[in-house]
Amino acid sequence: MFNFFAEMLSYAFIVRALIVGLLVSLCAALLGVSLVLKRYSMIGDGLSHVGFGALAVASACHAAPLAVSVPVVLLAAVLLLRLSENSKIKGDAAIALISTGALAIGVAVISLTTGLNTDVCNYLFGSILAMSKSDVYLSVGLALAVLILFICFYQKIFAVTFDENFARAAGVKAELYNTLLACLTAVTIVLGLRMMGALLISSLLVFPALTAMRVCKKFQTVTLNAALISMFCFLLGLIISYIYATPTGASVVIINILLFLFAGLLAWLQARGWLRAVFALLLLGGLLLAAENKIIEIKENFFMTQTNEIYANAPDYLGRTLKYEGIFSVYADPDSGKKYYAVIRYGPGCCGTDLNAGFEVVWDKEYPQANDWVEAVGALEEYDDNGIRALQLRLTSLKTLSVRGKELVLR
Amino acid sequence: MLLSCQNAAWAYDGNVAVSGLNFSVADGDYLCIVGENGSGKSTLLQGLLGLKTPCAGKIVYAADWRGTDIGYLPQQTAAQKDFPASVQEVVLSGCIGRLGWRPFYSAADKEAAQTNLELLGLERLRGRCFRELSGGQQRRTLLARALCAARKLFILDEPLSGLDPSAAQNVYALLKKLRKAGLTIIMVSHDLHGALQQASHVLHLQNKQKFFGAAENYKKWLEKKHV
Repeated sequence: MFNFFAEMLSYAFIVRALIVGLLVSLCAALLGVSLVLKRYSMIGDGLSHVGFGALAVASACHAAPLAVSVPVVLLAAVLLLRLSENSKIKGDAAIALISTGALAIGVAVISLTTGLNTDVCNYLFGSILAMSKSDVYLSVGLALAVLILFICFYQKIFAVTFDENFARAAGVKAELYNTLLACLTAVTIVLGLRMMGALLISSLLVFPALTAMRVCKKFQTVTLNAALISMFCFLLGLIISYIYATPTGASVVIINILLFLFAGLLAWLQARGWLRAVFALLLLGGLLLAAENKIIEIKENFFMTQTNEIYANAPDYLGRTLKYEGIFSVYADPDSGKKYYAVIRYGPGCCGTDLNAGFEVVWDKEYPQANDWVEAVGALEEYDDNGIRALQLRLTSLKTLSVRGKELVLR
Repeated sequence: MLLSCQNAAWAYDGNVAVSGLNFSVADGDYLCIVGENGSGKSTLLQGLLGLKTPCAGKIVYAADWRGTDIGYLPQQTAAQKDFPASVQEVVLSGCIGRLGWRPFYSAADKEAAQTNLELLGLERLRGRCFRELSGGQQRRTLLARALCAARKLFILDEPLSGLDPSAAQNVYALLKKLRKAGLTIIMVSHDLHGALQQASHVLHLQNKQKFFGAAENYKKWLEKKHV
């Protein structure tokens, strides 16, 4: 596991993608909650298309991609907000106009200059190789700015999102915060654009928010969980894209979809009051599984009884690991000369101690001295000893102890 | 005098929605604005809140007027139906006007929110999700939020719509209590009967100011009109 991550992180481009991706996912999720609740989800989609157009023009002019696209998309964000507040063109229609317009310009510019090639495909669907070192510095700076602004204005963003009229009546400049929200969204989208792809980036805004909203009931927990979900999905998506060589953007979106469906299932169970039952079942199953794998320790108190129980119900115990202390003994069969090793304690008999409690053991390392006090740990197995079905412990550990326990056990 | 309209008019989408308004509200008044749908009541409220500038005439405010002293109970929006927010968060957001440039609410703000939660009997619901409350509980939550903001003036836009009679009575009782505590109240209402029992003044609108005066005179005016 550790080696796998070490190998993955030894590629510089993956480290860059990881840093930028996590920051962008975090910002996108935080902003996404407000955007979804304000019915502004499509603004993200529109802005990503504008970003595509800007990137195309930037690469045609051999300009720095982020330096060109950030201001262009910011401008588009402000314009989109103005258009959706102005009732002459309705909000969704305005977004459709601007996004398809920008896409058209981008495609035209690309085909006139470099021609439609894999670069275009990368712009549309994202590429993990997209981040250069200077991009990373700029992205980290901008992402931190988005985070700080969001935290500083969190209360106002909440008030404006919940009830714009009330907030305005209370003296909050709602237009300012709407513009702020749109601008922060624009920056976030441009940062994630080349890694996630123009067609997929807006999913980072929408999915984590919707997933969190399914299960959480407070704005604060929705926001926090959306951020966590978003970063988790990105990390998992990146790992999957690394293993299976799938596009990063698509992998992240698919993980997001799965989590969204899972959250829906949780919410459905919760609404029906079955959630607790499911948790109880999971807990019970977990306990049983844990009990199944647990080492069975035979203690001094009921040594006889417990070894008898294991012999009597041997099929239930086959394969289980036993652990106990006892005397290491060696017997040689007088007829065949075969040596048997065992760890036992002396049990009660009719004349002295002719009944020994314990198990035969096999050990692939060197055996200790006979009559040593040892602790034996091993798995119980059945074997065929010249037509007799016998039990033995295949030892994984055999330690000689200096302090001897009770050698004679009566129960 | 808290505020007075001097021949004010407001337009909506370029059409004059309400005009010829001449009335004033004094400290401690309880003004009820009545009129049919589309008679310009909501537009007037937006004007009084400072969200819309008058297209003619003007509003004159008292010298010590601060816009952030108004508590406003708007009509519920569709977006709130599925909004994930706890009652506590919604009520606390009533203090938004006093937040200024601070990023978080102060202890005094939280105390104000607590007081208003208790006043409206919402302490036990404070952790609940707003969208899962009944209509009456949601209204009480929004009232508590508005109270957090109301230092001087309380403006209510149809506070009773969608409430059953007993819940409406509770709202009236609350308004009475608030007025005793010194708040000025301006309310848009369709419930003429209930409003007339409490209001000190009535403004009757029909895109123009049809009547403004004390509540007793309004009854006489209504009778005369019917005759």
